[in-house]
Amino acid sequence: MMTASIRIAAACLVASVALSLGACVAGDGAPETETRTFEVLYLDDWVVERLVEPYVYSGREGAPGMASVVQGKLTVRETPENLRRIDETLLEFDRPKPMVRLVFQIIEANGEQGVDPRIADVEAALRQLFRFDGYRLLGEVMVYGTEGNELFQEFDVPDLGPSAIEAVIMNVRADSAGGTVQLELRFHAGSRTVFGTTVRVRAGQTAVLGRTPSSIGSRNIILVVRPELQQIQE
Amino acid sequence: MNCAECREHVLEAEPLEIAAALSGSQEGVGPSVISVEGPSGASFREHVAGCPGCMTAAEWVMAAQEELVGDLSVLSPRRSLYVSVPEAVLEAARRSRRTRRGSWGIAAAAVAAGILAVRSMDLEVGGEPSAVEIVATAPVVATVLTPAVDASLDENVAVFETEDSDIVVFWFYEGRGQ
Repeated sequence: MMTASIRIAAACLVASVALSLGACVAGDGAPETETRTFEVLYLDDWVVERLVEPYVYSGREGAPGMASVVQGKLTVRETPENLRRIDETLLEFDRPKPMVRLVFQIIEANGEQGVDPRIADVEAALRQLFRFDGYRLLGEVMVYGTEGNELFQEFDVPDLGPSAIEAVIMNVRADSAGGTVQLELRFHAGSRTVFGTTVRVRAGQTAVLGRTPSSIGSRNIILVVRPELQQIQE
Repeated sequence: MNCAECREHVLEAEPLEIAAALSGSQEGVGPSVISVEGPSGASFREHVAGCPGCMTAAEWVMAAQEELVGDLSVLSPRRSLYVSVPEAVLEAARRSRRTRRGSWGIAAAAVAAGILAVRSMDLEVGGEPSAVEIVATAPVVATVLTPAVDASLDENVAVFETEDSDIVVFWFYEGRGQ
């Protein structure tokens, strides 16, 4: 009987310590809160606001949580546990936008007999779909940028004359699957705009754009673009 | 099979199977059609035959495929693409179903979305919720997860997945009957 009473008393003591230390409950029953300011380096203020919103309990009685963001400074009043979670969230998502490398290829479907190793993979895919006799690489351009950049590259394409690629990197999403890139594209050959569209593809995926009928007389011009993400070292 | 299941099936069914369903019965349909039917073939045919909305959806997909094939036929240096393209599509579907049926479903849906999205037509849907989003505004982004592409008012776009999952083909062609 005596032993049982001691065990119960010990259990009560442990529970009491856990309640006062572990749960950080204030004397009036409301949890203790702290205020901390985080520096946000890359995310927009409105994104940060949405990101931390679920961790801030503004409706909590006695100790409501609060958060405000201004010019990349996030100030939060919350429990230590929630502040830690917010810290972890920012650590995970407040990262520089990756650099995007865009490789463009201008291909003509014109009966070329040989296989150009530079377009071998695209040619194999096109041969599954269409029955052009062959494909010829007319030009290749590589440009770099980040989200929001507008890129313009002039170059000469054999038989097409002065040409230009316009690309706007509209949206870049890095994710566990490698990310996606959304591009607004225009390809001009001479005075004609051969392609003007918006595409979204996975990073590393090759987008092949063709048109029927061709916008350059009888010439079938195909635009290939492959976006690749390159993480910027912090 | 309900309307949602039927319209999902329309997007991934082979043209011959859709044609058989639109014919209303197996009468006059050769063994090649029967062979391309999946396990849901009978219920698909029955549903299409009895549902005006799904029949319209099936007719749309068939018409869009014929239109695409017709437009692509100008590219045919060796033989008629009216034959070769459907063959290529069917073969891709068979290969894809053996290996990655889900991806083909997405590809087929993307093709249909690309074709249907730029058409300013309404699809009457009776009773059950539709699995096919018909958008009558333009310019329209034909979005099926990724990839996605814009098509302007006066053109259609077909999205082809290939055996190489790292390559996706967007093929623009003139719209008709806009």
